[in-house]
Amino acid sequence: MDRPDYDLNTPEDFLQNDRFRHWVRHRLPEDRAFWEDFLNTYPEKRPIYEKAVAMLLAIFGKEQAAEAGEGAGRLREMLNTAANRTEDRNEPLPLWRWLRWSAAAVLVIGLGFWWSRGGREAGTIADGVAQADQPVQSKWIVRENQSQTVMLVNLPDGSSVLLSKGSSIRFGKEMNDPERDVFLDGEGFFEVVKNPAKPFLVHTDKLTTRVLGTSFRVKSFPGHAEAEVAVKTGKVAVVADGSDAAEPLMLYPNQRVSLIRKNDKFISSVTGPARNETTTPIETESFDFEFTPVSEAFKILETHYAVKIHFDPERMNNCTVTASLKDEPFLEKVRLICLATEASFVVNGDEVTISGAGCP
Amino acid sequence: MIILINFRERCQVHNRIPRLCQLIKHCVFKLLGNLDRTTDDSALWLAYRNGDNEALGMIAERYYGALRRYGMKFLVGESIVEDCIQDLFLDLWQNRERISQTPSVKFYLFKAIRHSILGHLRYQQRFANEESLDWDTSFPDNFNAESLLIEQETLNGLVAQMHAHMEALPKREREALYLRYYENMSVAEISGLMGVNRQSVSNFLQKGITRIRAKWFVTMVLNLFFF
Repeated sequence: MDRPDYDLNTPEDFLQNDRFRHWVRHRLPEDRAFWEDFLNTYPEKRPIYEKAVAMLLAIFGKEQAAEAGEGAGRLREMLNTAANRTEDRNEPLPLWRWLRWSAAAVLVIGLGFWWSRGGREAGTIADGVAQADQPVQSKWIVRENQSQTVMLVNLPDGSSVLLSKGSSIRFGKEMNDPERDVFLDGEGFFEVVKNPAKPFLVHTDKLTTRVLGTSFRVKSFPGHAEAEVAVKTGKVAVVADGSDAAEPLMLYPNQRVSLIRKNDKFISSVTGPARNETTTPIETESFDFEFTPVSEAFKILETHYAVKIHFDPERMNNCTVTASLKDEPFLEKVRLICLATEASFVVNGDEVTISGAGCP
Repeated sequence: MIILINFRERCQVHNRIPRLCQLIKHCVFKLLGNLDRTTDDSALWLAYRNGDNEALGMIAERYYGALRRYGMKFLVGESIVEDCIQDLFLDLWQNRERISQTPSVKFYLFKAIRHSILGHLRYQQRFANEESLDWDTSFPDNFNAESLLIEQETLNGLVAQMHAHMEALPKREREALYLRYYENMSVAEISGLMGVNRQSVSNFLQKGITRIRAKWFVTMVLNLFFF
């Protein structure tokens, strides 16, 4: 809502005022009277008014008025020709084309049937990966954590990200580019599927982290001067945006780098294994299981990944796990535990359902 | 009316009984009312999705200028922006049966054009990302100060100052300011458009303005001392 005009006290107030923006942009005669009157009534506000006008003009920038009308006309003509072309194609399909389409349909249905049978025999392992909700019309998926706890995001390549509260992440729907790019605003703990042919890059507003397959945490909230990368396993390369040095900074397990933006330069400091207050619990969890009952293993996964795991405790009473799952992504951890206990699983959002016959 | 529209869609798919289809098309057109310059975006969008070429033409006319202006800000060249807009509308026409109703046509078009310009940059240089998108801050040209009730000399001086401060802002902050104050978009729309969360858009806007303001304040104090 527009404030009443006597309440316009700072250039921001003017900028927020729809009537003022409309006036500066279109300069209509009917608005002119209003602002003339305003300036006469409040002559002391003239300097602020002038500042606000100048600010708005600077934001608008150079006008591109010419040409626009002509271009729109050309576009309309083009659409008309496109429409006429499609209408020509609307005549009824001849018989042989019907036959061709039916043959194709039979083939597709047959393949689908065969596929679904094959899928059922192999178990339902792949079900969870494609669950992320996908916005239409975009090659990107954006996930934002607006809750108060961490949120698990499974990426299309099988890697997992634990997104801290107030953070968001954007990644390709299919991730079939030569590089696996994700864009992070805020903080996330990554466990990356190893794939030497496809480097995994985490872009933030201040730095880029490049890995082949490890686990590490990146923190870079927009608007904060400080950014941090901490490595749990493997090694990662960090490049500060805007730094001239082409040499990336290499980090090894338990090392951590903080970048502080000062006078538009990044100052980095590498520190050893010492933990600080920003270390998250998952960074110190080893996920080492030695004859651990599955119920306990699932409990550990549930606490660290903020998910709910459903399973039949009585049936799986005798099942134990022996494995070191330190830097496997979440889905891989679940898959390996299921493999060890001859169970299968289905992922739906942040719920995992395990079904297995149990262990002898 | 819904039934008629459904019928109409089927007519488009396989025009079996041309006369009946023609009739239905006319009925729908009558029911939707005559489309003209005052028809709102969502009605035009609905008509376009039902195969009305004229409606898409009107949408194109309505937004061509704004899309072109926005596209040009990324400094990729006039012909590329125009090609992107053309391709966008041709794609819309060809995919009309798969496009859904949208809460804001303007937002949809802006997002699409931004995406296709980014796509063009990716095609040129493999590692293009959001940061490769430039933002034009050419000096606002020939503004008539009198038409804004200000003396020309005063305004020239002020605009030069503000322009210098604008140039010092990061590119994405400048884009957010433009979308907010020139295109009158909401913070939510800007965040969806630029693919950043709402809080960062508010920060962009807040910081952008306070930075312009802070610098202006310093200049003003200095002026007091020297003159």
